[in-house]
Amino acid sequence: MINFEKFELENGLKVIVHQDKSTPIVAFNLLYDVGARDENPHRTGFAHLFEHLMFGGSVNISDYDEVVEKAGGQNNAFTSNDITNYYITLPKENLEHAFRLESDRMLSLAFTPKSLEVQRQVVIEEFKQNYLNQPYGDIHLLLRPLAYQKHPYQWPTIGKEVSHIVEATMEEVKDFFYTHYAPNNAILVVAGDVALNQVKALSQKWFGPISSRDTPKRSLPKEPRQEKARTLKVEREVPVDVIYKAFHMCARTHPDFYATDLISDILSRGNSSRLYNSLVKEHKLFSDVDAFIGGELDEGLFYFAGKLTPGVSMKDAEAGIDAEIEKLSSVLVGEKELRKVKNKAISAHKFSELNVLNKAINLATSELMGDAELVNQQIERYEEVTSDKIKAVAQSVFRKANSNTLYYHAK
Amino acid sequence: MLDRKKEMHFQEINMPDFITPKTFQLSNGLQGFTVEGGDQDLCRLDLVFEAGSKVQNKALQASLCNALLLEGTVQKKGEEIHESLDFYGAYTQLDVNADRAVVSLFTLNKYFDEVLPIFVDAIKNPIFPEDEFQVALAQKKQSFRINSEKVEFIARNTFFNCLFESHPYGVSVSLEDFESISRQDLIDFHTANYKNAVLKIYIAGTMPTGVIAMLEECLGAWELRKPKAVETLSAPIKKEKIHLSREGAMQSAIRIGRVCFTSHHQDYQPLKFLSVVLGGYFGSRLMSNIREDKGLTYGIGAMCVQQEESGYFSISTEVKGESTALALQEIYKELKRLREELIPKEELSLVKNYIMGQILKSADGPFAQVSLLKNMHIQGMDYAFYDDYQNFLDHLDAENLRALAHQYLKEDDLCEIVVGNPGT
Repeated sequence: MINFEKFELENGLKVIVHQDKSTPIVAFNLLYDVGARDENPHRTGFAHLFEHLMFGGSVNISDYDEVVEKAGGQNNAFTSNDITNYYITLPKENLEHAFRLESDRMLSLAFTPKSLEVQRQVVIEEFKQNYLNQPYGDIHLLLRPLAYQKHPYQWPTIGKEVSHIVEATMEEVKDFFYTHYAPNNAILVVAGDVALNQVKALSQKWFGPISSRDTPKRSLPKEPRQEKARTLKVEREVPVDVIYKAFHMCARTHPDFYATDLISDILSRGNSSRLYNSLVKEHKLFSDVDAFIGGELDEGLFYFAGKLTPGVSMKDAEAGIDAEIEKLSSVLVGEKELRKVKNKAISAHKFSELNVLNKAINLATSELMGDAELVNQQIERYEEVTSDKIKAVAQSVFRKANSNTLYYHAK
Repeated sequence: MLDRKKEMHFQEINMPDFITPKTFQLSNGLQGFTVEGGDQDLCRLDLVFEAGSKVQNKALQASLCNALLLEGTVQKKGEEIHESLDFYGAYTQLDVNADRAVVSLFTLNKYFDEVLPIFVDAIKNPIFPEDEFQVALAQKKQSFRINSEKVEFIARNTFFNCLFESHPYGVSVSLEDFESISRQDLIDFHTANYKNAVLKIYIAGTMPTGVIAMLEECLGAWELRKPKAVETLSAPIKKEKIHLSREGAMQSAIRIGRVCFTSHHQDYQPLKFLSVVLGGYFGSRLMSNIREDKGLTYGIGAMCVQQEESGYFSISTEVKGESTALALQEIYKELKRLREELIPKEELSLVKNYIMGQILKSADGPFAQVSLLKNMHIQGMDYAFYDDYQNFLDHLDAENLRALAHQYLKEDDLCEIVVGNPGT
């Protein structure tokens, strides 16, 4: 249970305060409601490139990191297909520095040409290091466009291709900033040994003077229901064959989300899970096999990923996965197995509330989904899932026509 | 009017109030520590063993033995063990490095009495079933083959091999090792290093009721052996420059460094401090120069690491292939600056604050603090260390640090590994 209080500034900035007196650290988490899904299809990777530029100096503060370091803090950020999230953890005595830094960045960046040039290079190196110069690094570059034909989830956060990063211009950078980096498009969470009034005063002082901006309402193309199975076969210089299967699933806010999440747990959470016991240990089709959900806010993907045992054919490996899918769709999950995955999900949730930064991020994303209070309803939502529900969701997600299969062969 | 340009005062950061660990002893003499705190009804138990790879006779023995600890006893199959731990929502973590193995249990307090006996029995009495062994071996072999494609992996192995040669710290796994390891090797390793050999136990979080009595029941009867005496390695300085070309690599992995010493050496703390200045945080000199100024890499770091018998200093990065020569030149330039110039006062105080902030964060809650305590014990220290450390940070001396850089970071005394595309 995370206690919190909420208020909103006149410019639209939502602020959430969570008090935890047991820690010397305050987590300052600022979420912007912009991610790779909001990008122009010809400038993919932009939200993530932008995250880098946010560290290249703001209008009044040339060196962001230096201030954080002097304050004894640590900071980082991440970009997903849905959001861009910035956080600082710092000693509570130095909390106001975080307000000064983040409000100045929201006010305006310095937009120096040098920063753009350097971060462009850094991101290109990141692209190479994690996606191109890495065995299996390009899997999501292949799988996403296979699964999505309309919705912008068709590209990963790093972008479709390096050229989009190469061609980004300063005008586009500025335009992106003023469109998305607005107080009315952000959620601030301050968590730690802080008081509501203190956070109110600091928020008003630093963020209050920033005017709200004209951020257009998001209207993304909806991915049409998939009616035909899709496959893609590639060959690469890698040591072993790999198979990926992705099925369209419900949105994060849909009531079926919790049953879908538990299905991935039944299949592959821990060594007592079905895929491991059946496909790795018993039938020895895979050295490693996993089922997981992408966790996107809009309609996302449910993945199967397996590394084949040498000598096993793609066909046999795929048949193994299909058999497990078929079992879920035709046989009700037993009481004990369902209790097990619920217990596991609930304890994972409790363990995730052990540190103040996690709590802050959970609050921010819950607020984005509609209400920060959702964070305290997770356990209940998992408890409500029944065996019948699991079977029904499995039947609707794991339709053959809803599948996107990537056969990744070793040369 | 708000003056956004004006820098605000930075509060001096004080050492956090560490939770005082309580000690206890089981009837067989086994030493335990509790770090009590938090408001969730959760706890974490760690059992520490001297079962790192440095005590193995054969490659893969320590890591496979560790990975297969929970895969079956005479009475229970692996599935049953996992099934019951999972049923209670418990998590386990099995870790091993060159020096130590740690097995950890994370559980809701209300199920502690259910999961503890299962967990301890699995660790004390594993039989390493042949089929489980074959599955794990195949998995490890595959990930080894995948890793072997990565320039960073090759550079790291080559580096440690260059530094420590045939000492266990320097030996890396090869494909042939997967053929020569057998189930019996794991049984032997377990008998020698796990059975009756638990070194210390730690428990953190809010304490389950009757925790000590339960630990006594499960662990108090182990007939403990004496821990082995620690030897210190004195490896010679290596000056090799090894460049390996990998066709098709877009980036080059670079490792530069040398053998150092254990944390008991008088120069360990100052050298570690120097490594932070050079490449230990986002605003460090290497990051500022090679990433933020030149954009040659996604990341570059330097570290000074202590091991039980030795230690090392290392710089590592992956850079744009065609800029390998430039990156090397700039790395050596930064090392030269450390040897020749005094570190400005402001930079010293910035790094000091940064380090204090790190300490504060690593003391955030009982789970984090028990990790600190465990690491200190492995290094033969306790919380008194932080008093000395505060004292060290309060009296940083730029002249001293420069002399130290001169002593330990001469270009000629460093070995250099480059794997990838050495460029033109």
